[in-house]
Amino acid sequence: MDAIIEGFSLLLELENIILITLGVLIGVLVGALPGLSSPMAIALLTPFTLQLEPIPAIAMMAALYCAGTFGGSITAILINAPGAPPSVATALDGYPMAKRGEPGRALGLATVSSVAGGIISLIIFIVAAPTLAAVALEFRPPEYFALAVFALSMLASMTGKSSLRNLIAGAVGVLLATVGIHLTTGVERFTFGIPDLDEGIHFVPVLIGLFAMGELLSQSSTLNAAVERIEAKAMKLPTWAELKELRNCILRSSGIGTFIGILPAEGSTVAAIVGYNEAKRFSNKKEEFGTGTPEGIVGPEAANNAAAGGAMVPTLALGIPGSGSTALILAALIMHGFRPGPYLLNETPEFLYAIFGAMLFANIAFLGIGLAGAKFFSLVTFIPKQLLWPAVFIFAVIGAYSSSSSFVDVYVMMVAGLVGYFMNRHGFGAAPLVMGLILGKMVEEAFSQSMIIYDNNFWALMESPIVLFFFALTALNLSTPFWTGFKNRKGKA
Amino acid sequence: MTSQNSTAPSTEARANRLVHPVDLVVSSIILTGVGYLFYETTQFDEVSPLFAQNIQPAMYPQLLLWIIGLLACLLPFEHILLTKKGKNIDKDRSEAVHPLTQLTIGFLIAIVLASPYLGMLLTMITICLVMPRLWGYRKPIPILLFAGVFPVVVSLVFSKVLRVYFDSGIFGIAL
Repeated sequence: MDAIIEGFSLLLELENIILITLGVLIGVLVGALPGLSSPMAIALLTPFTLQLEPIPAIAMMAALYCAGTFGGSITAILINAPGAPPSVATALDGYPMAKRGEPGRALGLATVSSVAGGIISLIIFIVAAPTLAAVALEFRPPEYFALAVFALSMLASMTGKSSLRNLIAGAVGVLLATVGIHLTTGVERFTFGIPDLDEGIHFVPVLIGLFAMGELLSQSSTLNAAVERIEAKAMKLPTWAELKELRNCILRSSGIGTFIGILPAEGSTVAAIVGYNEAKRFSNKKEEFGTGTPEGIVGPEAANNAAAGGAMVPTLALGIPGSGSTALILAALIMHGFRPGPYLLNETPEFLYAIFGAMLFANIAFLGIGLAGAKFFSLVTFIPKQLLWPAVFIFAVIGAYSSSSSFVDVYVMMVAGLVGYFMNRHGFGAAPLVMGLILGKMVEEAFSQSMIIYDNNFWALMESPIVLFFFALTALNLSTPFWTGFKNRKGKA
Repeated sequence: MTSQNSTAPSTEARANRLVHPVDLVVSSIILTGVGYLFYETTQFDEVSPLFAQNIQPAMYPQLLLWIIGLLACLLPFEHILLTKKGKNIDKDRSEAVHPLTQLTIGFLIAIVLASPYLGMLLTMITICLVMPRLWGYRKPIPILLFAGVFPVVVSLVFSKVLRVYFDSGIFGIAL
């Protein structure tokens, strides 16, 4: 009880309320602007939050994460250009509804279902995270190693063009985490005589480069894409009768979204697509999907916002990121000197409640923002890309520079940006690489300790049923693309 | 604006091949990198087994390089599985890098390399003046307003509020 009071009281300080509100506003703004995304905003924000106290810093990022997912729906509905990938499915029915003259209704349905999905997932988060953390307290290095390997194998099913490319990017991320002085032996690895690399690769410039610079370069080839804008004068909240009719769809999608969010590496985009498909499968009006049906909006919106809360469960309870955005929040936690995982929640439970409070605040704020600011946020899409992206570049340069007042970090950011652009072009995602980079140290540490425990006998790891369970899941996960391909071929024959 | 080679095989033709030519090049680049880094790991200092607790510093990176190498070997054949799933891996790379993207890369590298000499304020002003023009924005008043106001506001916020020290460059210009 003391932890709950302490956690919430931290959020009642004026400075913290301002920071969280700022996080929500930045999140909605970033979500609403096509091309800008929550991971990019979190990456750009990270260096500046390092000067804040850890709890408000992480709370601000968590609020931004929730709000970014919601913000994407505004542009998905009004200009058929999802501001963020999780809103792709919302555009399928949101835009047709707006086009037939009901943009306010579409925004209202998206907002209410986002709030409902977000709050339901947070209730699950507040129950599941401490429970999972308590279970994880029993984990020893071999179990952690197996869990981390399983989390990395989940990259294969992450949204993207190919499982193989996601796995390669993840493995490269893990390799990048080995750069610097080896903690056990003090031997330099991959430093190439550059003293700045002794401490390893700094997260901030790499994150900014991969997420912001890579996207900036991609945007330079789509400057002339024309969009049709639908004006929204005000948001119209759904009626009680309408909500009653959509109740089951919202609850189902919220459950689906939270579950998918909890799975390592699966984020809001997968949740939204599954939420949309399930809404259609259970609907009595399947033929109306794609023409602007309410279920086609609330299904994906409840699911993608629920996934945001779900993704925080493994992130805080196990130290395993549930999505690309939570991987960045995890990186920020590490930079603030925390060791994410069960010990964090058991030793500083007020931290959990502060994050919960911030995300709850963000979800409730959507209603106000949707009611009062929908028109404003639809207008931000009029900002010319030619002015918006130079501003993003400036924030990227300052963000990389300010993390250690060094131009070397700006060069690292630039190199990471170029690598990110060409990786993306060839189907390698930035998010798997970042997840690999963040999990890398944990994987090596757990692997080394396991080898010491079992006297260098790898097979002895299998003595633990938990290790065996995670390895079995890993094998199942990695073989899925092959056996589904085989099944499809057999089906066609 | 695209400069796609008309003699290059179409996406469908590529999909029918056993080996994807572009992925073969990507795979070769990765394998070259893996080979070089593997060589680097052989140059790591060795420590006594007692001190290393039986795990030499090179062992773990070598294990990762093996995994990356093996996965990279599968890359040229992956399109067969992806095509059967209806995915087009060539969608974003079927056209050559857009000329404007090439110009942008050139400008960004130049401005980043010049930033220690220009200082942060002048760097920001240059970005605000040049990048919109480079990207085809032709309204001088918004550009001038953008270049005059945005860098000054950002500099003031970061230097005075967040206490981030900005290098003033060889011209010594800072707020």
